[in-house]
Amino acid sequence: MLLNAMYGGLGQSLGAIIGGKMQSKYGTVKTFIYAGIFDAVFVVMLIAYLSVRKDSSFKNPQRIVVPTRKTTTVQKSRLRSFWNR
Amino acid sequence: MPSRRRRTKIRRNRTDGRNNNNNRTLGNFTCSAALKVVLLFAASILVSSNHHHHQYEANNKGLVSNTNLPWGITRTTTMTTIISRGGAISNTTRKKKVQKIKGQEKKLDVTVNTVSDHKKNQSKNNKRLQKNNGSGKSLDDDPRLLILIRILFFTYYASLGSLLPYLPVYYHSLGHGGQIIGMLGAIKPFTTFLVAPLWGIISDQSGSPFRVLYFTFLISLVGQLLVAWRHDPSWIMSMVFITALFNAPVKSLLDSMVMANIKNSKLYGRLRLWGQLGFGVGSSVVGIILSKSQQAQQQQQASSLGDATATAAAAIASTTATATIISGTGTTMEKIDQIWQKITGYKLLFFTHALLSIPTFICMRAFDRWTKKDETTTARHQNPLTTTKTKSRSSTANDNKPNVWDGIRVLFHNSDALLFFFLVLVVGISSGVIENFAYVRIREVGGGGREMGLSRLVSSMAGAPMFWFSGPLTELLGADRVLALSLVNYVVRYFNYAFMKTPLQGLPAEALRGATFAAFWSTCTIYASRIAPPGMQATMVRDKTKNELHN
Repeated sequence: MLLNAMYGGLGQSLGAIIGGKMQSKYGTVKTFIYAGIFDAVFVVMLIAYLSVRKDSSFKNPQRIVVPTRKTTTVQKSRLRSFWNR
Repeated sequence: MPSRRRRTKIRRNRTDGRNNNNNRTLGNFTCSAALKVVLLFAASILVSSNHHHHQYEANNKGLVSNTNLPWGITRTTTMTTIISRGGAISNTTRKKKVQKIKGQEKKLDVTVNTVSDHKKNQSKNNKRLQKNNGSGKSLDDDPRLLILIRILFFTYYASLGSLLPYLPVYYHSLGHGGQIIGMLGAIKPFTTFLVAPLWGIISDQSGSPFRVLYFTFLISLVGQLLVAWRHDPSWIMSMVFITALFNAPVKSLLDSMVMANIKNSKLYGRLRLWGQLGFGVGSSVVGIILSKSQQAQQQQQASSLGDATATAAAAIASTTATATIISGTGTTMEKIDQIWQKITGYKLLFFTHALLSIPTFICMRAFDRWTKKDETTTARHQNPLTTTKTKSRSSTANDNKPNVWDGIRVLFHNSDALLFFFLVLVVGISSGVIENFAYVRIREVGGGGREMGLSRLVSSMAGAPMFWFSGPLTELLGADRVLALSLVNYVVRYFNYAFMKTPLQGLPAEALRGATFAAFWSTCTIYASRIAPPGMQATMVRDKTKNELHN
């Protein structure tokens, strides 16, 4: 759902609106050139960031662990008992 | 009056009958015959029901290897009945019975052999099935059902392919500017994003996804066709919105119903490829028709400009034909020809879309009937909903599970996940720009329907093999590099479209389009499902409708 929302929902609708604005202002060719330049700059920045950061989990993705509510409650009770001492 | 010896024998028989010591009384032949009667009974049950073949095997092992059956109760009951009867009958009758039983023995021997063969076959089948899925459940789908699903995917996506890629070009041909085209292009994805979960809830609550599918499919079809009714932006926007509103769950429902009704879920990818093929074929064929229609229009215009007499004749002929239609005296062919003359240019797209929707709807109905006919399939189809409801109840009851917001909050604290979803957003924006204006650009450089159709076909064909190679590609490069490569591909495509001089020069960009999307989407799905916190795979990867019906 989140993936669809980011790509199909927000991404494509924003792209269509931005692209439409640019096309009416600059024409199709310039819209594509500007969009291409933006993407190229973004990719260069991304590659620079990824080359600097070595410990990313992209190659070997790990499941994100969410602290459960029960654990939080237990933690709270422990904290209370700690403060009551 | 029976003799003393006989009376003693009968008494002993009766006593034996009460004590269930049957083997000694009637001899071994009776015992074995009775055992085989039981066997025959067991075999008949086994033949009628394949579900209990494991139990049958276990029981049959005891029978074949040892004459002392493990089924104490069944054997005792049968033998007791025979013995108690045996005590009351005369010697002659008993001899006849013995002969009869001996005769049956031979038949039963055959039965035992048959049962033994059946057991061997069952164990062979069992091994084969366990090899297939490890659970002993049959994975063989009915070939007719698979053909039906293929046709359904093909026609549905062909109907989409015949219209969707050309819509921005159609708006452009009406004289609308880029801003309107952009707005119209944004309505559909944004509306789908907002209402798809609501349709999921409606579908679940109704308990009849097929009805929801019919309703949404038909209403969205009407809305889509009404887009061509008027040319003013407000009308088109409202129709596009209605279409998007009702079309939002169609793809998801279709996917989930197919998944719920096929036994081997691994087949889904191959079946869905027919949709990819249908989209390519639909768009290319429509492109050719569109191109011919435009050529015919141009020729007509040229001839009308060049020859005034021909124009006058054509006008007279047109008037006569119209009068014929109005008066109702013309033949059916003439009427069809007249209607055909009116459906020219981009209106052909809507006509083809409607035409291809007819077999799609027929296939949906056939699929519905199939699921209703097959009881087990229906059970498979309905269970996910009930299971989901049960699951949702249990999840609300269980406070130990994290909710969606917990997961999203955690995602924003995880730098890799944050970067991943930001990259997905950037790729989505790039896609939004390029999808809405690529064909406008092809039109600008003189491209017609044929070139656009060819472009779409190349895109679909390039995308198909990438669904196979995307898995190893992700493993080899990692999700971040695949996303970076996707963006590089967008850069190449942007410049390709910007600097092309002829429509066919855009074909490399189209090939990249198919390959990029396939690799990008597969990689994203795999990565998102891997990093998803426990119980949140569906929230992060699939939309709600698909999730609700898949589980």
